[in-house]
Amino acid sequence: MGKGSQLSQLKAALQTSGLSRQSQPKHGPKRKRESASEGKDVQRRQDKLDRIVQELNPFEVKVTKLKHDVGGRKLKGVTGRPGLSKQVGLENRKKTLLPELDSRNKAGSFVDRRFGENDPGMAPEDRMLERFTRERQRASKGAMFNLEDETELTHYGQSLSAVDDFDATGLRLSDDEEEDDKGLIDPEAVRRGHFGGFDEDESEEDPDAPPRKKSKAEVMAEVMAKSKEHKYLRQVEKEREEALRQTLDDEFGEVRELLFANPYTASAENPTSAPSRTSTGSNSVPIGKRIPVPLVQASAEGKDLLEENEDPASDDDYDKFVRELAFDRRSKPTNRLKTEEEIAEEEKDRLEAAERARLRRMRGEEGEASDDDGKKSKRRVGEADDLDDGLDLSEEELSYGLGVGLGADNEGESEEDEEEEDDDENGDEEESGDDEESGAEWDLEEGDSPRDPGIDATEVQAQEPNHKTKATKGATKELPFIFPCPASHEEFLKIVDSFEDSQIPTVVQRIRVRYHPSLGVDYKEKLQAFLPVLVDHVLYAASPPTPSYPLVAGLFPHIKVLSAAYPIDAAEAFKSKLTLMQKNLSRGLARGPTNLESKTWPGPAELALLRFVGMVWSTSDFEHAVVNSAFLLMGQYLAQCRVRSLADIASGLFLCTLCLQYTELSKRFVPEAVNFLNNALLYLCPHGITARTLPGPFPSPDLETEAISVVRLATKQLDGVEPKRPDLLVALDDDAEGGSQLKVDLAGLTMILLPRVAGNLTSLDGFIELFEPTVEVLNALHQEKYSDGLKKLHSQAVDGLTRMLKVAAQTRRPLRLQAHKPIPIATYIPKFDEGHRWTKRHDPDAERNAASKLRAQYKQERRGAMRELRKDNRFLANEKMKRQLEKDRGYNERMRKVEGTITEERHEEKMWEKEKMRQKRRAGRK
Amino acid sequence: MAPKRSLPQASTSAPKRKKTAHEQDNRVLALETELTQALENSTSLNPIVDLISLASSDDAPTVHKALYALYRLCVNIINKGLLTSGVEDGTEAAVVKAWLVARWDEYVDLLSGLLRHTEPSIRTSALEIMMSLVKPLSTALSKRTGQPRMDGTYFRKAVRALLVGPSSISESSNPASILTESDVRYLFLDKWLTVHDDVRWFFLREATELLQHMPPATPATPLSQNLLALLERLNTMPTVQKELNEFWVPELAAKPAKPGASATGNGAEDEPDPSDWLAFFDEPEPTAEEREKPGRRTNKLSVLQSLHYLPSHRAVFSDCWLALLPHLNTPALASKALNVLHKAVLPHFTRPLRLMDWISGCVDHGGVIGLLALNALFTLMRDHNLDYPDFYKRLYGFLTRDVLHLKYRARFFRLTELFLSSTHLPVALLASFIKRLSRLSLSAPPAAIVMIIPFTYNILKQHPSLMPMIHRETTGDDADPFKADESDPMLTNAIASSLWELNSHREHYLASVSTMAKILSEPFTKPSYALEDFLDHTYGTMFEAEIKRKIKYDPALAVDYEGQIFPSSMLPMGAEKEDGSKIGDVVADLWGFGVIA
Repeated sequence: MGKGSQLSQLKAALQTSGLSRQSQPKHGPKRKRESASEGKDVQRRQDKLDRIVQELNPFEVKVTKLKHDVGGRKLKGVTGRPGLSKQVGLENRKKTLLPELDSRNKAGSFVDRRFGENDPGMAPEDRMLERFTRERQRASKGAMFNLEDETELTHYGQSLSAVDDFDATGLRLSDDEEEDDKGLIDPEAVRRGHFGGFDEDESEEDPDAPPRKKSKAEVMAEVMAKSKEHKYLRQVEKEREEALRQTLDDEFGEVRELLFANPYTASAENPTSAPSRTSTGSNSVPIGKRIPVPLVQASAEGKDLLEENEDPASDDDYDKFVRELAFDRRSKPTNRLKTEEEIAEEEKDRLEAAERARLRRMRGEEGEASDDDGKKSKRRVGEADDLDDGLDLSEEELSYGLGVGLGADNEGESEEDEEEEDDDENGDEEESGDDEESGAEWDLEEGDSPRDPGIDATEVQAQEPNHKTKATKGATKELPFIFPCPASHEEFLKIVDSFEDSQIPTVVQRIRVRYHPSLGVDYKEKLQAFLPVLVDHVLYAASPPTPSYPLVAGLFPHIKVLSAAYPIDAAEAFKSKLTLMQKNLSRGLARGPTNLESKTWPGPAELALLRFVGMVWSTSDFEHAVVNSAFLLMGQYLAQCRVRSLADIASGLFLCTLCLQYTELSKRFVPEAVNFLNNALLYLCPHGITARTLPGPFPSPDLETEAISVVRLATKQLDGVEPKRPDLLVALDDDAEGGSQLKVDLAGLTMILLPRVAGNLTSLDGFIELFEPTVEVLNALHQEKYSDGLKKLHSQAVDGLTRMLKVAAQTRRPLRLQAHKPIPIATYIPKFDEGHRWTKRHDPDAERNAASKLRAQYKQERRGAMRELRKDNRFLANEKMKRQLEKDRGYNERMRKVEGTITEERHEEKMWEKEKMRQKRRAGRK
Repeated sequence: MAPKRSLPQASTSAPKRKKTAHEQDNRVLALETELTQALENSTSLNPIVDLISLASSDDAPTVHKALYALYRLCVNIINKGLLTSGVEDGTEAAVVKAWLVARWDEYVDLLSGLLRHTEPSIRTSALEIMMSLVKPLSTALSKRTGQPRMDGTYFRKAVRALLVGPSSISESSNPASILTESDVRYLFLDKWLTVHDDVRWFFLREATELLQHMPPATPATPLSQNLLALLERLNTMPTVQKELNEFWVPELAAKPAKPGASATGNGAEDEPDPSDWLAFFDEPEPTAEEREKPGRRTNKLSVLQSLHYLPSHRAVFSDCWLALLPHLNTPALASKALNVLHKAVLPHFTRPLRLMDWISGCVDHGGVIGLLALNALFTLMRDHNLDYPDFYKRLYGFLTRDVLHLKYRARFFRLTELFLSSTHLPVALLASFIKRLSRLSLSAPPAAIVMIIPFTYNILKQHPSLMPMIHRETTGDDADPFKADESDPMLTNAIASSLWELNSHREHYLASVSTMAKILSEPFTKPSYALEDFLDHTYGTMFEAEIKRKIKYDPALAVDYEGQIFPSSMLPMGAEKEDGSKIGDVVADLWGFGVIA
């Protein structure tokens, strides 16, 4: 603190603050001047003195000693003045708590709002003076509205008493009023007379001339003239509008004709070039259709309307129009047409997105939602015959391009003959006719296709109630337009019974158009049921003895579109067929795979279905509801069926080709197909391999069977036979056994397929092990007698495979499957934080951090509030005690006084009695 | 006592035939009543001949009725002792007896023949009657001799009829036709062979004797086929003494007079009589000897004692199988026998090691039979201390190109897992196994692949020194050092190779297989896979699982295809369009579908 003793310090402090007597120079005049504000001065001096006293008193200051003092910091709360803060608290309480205590148990209180009452710095005289002036001012305010005063009221400088005359206001009396004015004052008059436009009237009349007072008559005349003029103007306006409306009415017919083409009139005049709805941009239903009256008449009546003005019929029409217009949907703005570049760009984007989705599915990382989107967008893009975007194909369009009419009766007969043949042969082929679910359900030839010669196309139409008799003439030449939607294959067969194969796709097309889901409530369900029917028909059409692949191909677009619209139903339809095929297969296997009678290998119908699976569904997916099952089925065919004839090999090779097609994009590995291709070589071509010298690990169950020795090409059969494109139908026909051409075809096909399959699988780790045996087999074939074409294929296959094997051998490295990132060992070293501060909260969980902060704050506040309350209580107790003491003191005082008086009185009384006794005694002595 | 009669529905269409049938029925009835009275009055029994001729007629209902009539008569005759009564030769009674015996033989022959009748009900009735006749015959015999006995000669005839066929046709006729019909077989099994201990004992003994008289023929004889068909379903061999409690001939059910004399531990426990312990010690040798040489036990024990003695049952059982096995020389029969051998036969053998030669012969044969014989061989090795040299080499030899395609794949792998589960096997050996399996997997069906992968995983997990087969850091000579043709698994050098083939299945067409193949590249943190979950898959089960899966999301469709789907076969192979692009995908590229204009 300071230096020296307390006294010297006090002196120094007084001196610096200019309070010591020596430091105050005594100048007379100055002192006089200061005497005015002496009160303030005293106060200031007192403050200064107080401060000095406080600074000098070490007990006034509380100091918290810092443990580790670091210089250069400003810390809060190191020094404090408890006395002062206590004082402040007391003062505050006196201001707030004490009045509350006083007003306790009291219903109301006064607030003294007298001027200057609460201002302690005001002298009572000042207060009085101020109050007096205010009172005076308030009194003078009230005199403004006192009419008793002699002030005169004016308006624009004129005395109101002068204007106060009714004659000048231009009020008309009711004699000359017209019926429409109904006794109201003319607005002109009002404007003029009722304190209106002094200025404008005057400027209108004569801007230069000084305002002249008009006579009453003049004013009246003027007012009347103006009124008449206005009336006339109004009438003219009305007439003009009437005329305009009339002309509009007249032209309305033409306008309407422009807007909505009336099919009646239009077709009458110009049947070919009827304006299409879309060209006008209106999407509303043409209202012209609903009016019974032709428009030409309507416009004529419009002219009558001018004269007669009252025609209830046309009024009705008009009202109807208006109402319809009100209900008419407003046309919406359409997007602008896209340029070619934009369309190409969009197409590119779509294809890229589809490819991305496909790749994702191939890798098996399915994002379903995005996948869906991709598919939807795929669906949106129209195919050539996409019908999903509305009923585009009008019925006229449908009738085109169908030059081939229905054949004559004899054609139908010949078809029936064929069908009968089908029946017989199928009956023979059917392995277990009495088994109810044996038959591939698609083999509907057996008996359940009712051949009623009476039913032909015309009758089908006649049965149909919805049928419109538009194209009935020449029904034998043309297809009807309306067919019922078949719910089962039998119904479908009934419908297409009498048509040629080439017409069936058109029939399907029409059924799809007729039952477009947007046209009826339950059409969607009908189409969903129609899809399995189509699949059935594919099998039906492709089943022996006369498979019709063009028809099957014709059905493909329809199946594709319907599958795109209802994928799940389509998948179920395909799956049910696959299940059936698998059942047939296992039944065939149970009868013995080498048994010639058992039906194991797939026939043309089954192969067509599997081909469709590959065409309709995305075969490259990692997991696919339909394709997975189809794959397994094909695998089972290839692995478990035993080769008994050339047809079996053809069927197997076709399955291998399908496997290759399925996996072309995903590059997946089908062991069964590779096995079968190896075996096919061994079965078809002459070679010197026996079961003992068979290379590789693949099984070859039929290598040395008798059936194969028949199938295998003899060396002399090879002479000069060139390989050609094998015909599946011929190859699958059991009767065509032994044609050396077919054998060479199939051998050549195998030699083409092997390098292609291998090329698909080059990324396999086991490529070498997989295809080395193939090369060995190829090299072991006796190829001396091969024709040039076959030799070429053979050498191509060998070269291709050898090259791929060489590359694979060069690039293959030992497996490194366990090259995982090493799992770190858990560490137990504590984690140090360089910038750690205990005041900060370090909880990494922000929410918990905030909560604890809030808790701490709450605790602090609570403590503070409790401390305050305690202080309040102490203050109140103090106050109460003070009052009690005061009260007691007063009581004691009073009692003492009373006691004093009583004592005095008693004293006087005793004195008096003593006196009396004394006197008595005196008297008694007397 | 008469067996239940089950008349077939007479489905005669012509009324005339119905009438004759009716007449014949009446005649059977008349004859029967006549004969019954004749038996009681000891008058002429000649109508039996008529009845027998009726019984051998063509009309099924009549045969049926006549058979049962004859049965009732025979029971009567036997009970009266007419067939066996001791009478002097030359007397009238002797003549009658001889005549009756001849008729009796005729009847038995007829029954034997009827066992293979085309009418099922007659077949079963014949069997019922045949077996029912055992009872009165044995009872009569027991009464005559004073001790419980089975009529052996008759029973031998019955067994012969059942297994070989009637003596008249046994040599000449077509072997296929004298195979026992399955309904007869099942009836015999269900009603007698698996139920009655005495029938089983005698049947096995007689069958053994029948077999011993025949040399093993190259096409298996009907006898061995019939017997195998019966024995492979005989699964009720008693395992403890107490189970010997069902006897068809009631006399035989009586306990033998001195069971303790021959009883082993079980018998002694049953016998608390203290006086008997001496007897127990007096005759230890016979029992021991019996166990050693069951074939000669009949000399030591009476039939009745044998019947109530469990080891004797086992002995006849073993003898029968041992006699049968050399006759099973076609793969089909051998595999049938092997199917049941380890489970239903070996446990009941007196000395299973006697099967050793046959089983090791099967194992050496290889193929399916070898696979099946492994089970029995394993039982012998494990339970009976058989030392089989080069076992793992032979096991390795089983891993042929066909093993993954066989029906018994799962059974083989169940065993192989067991064989390879030992932690003391050399690593080189295990490496050979998994390397060869992985190579075979390249041509395997998906069901086999999903089995091989966890199998390999388990072995790798158990033998971490095999991990270089799936993870090798060294670079250098890349040629595969594995010798695929080496037959000794210790010398294949497989441990220096990699399992590329298994890793190839990551690209397998089936998602489940592909996912399975990926486990080899994941950290080996799983303890091991329960192989049992992966063994019993087939194409059928996998297809079913695939089909049954519910479609949750819309399946994806193929990208738009522009090209021909089914092009004409007139196009040249690999034809192209005018603009040089292909006419379609690979199928359209290579195949033709009929001539399309």
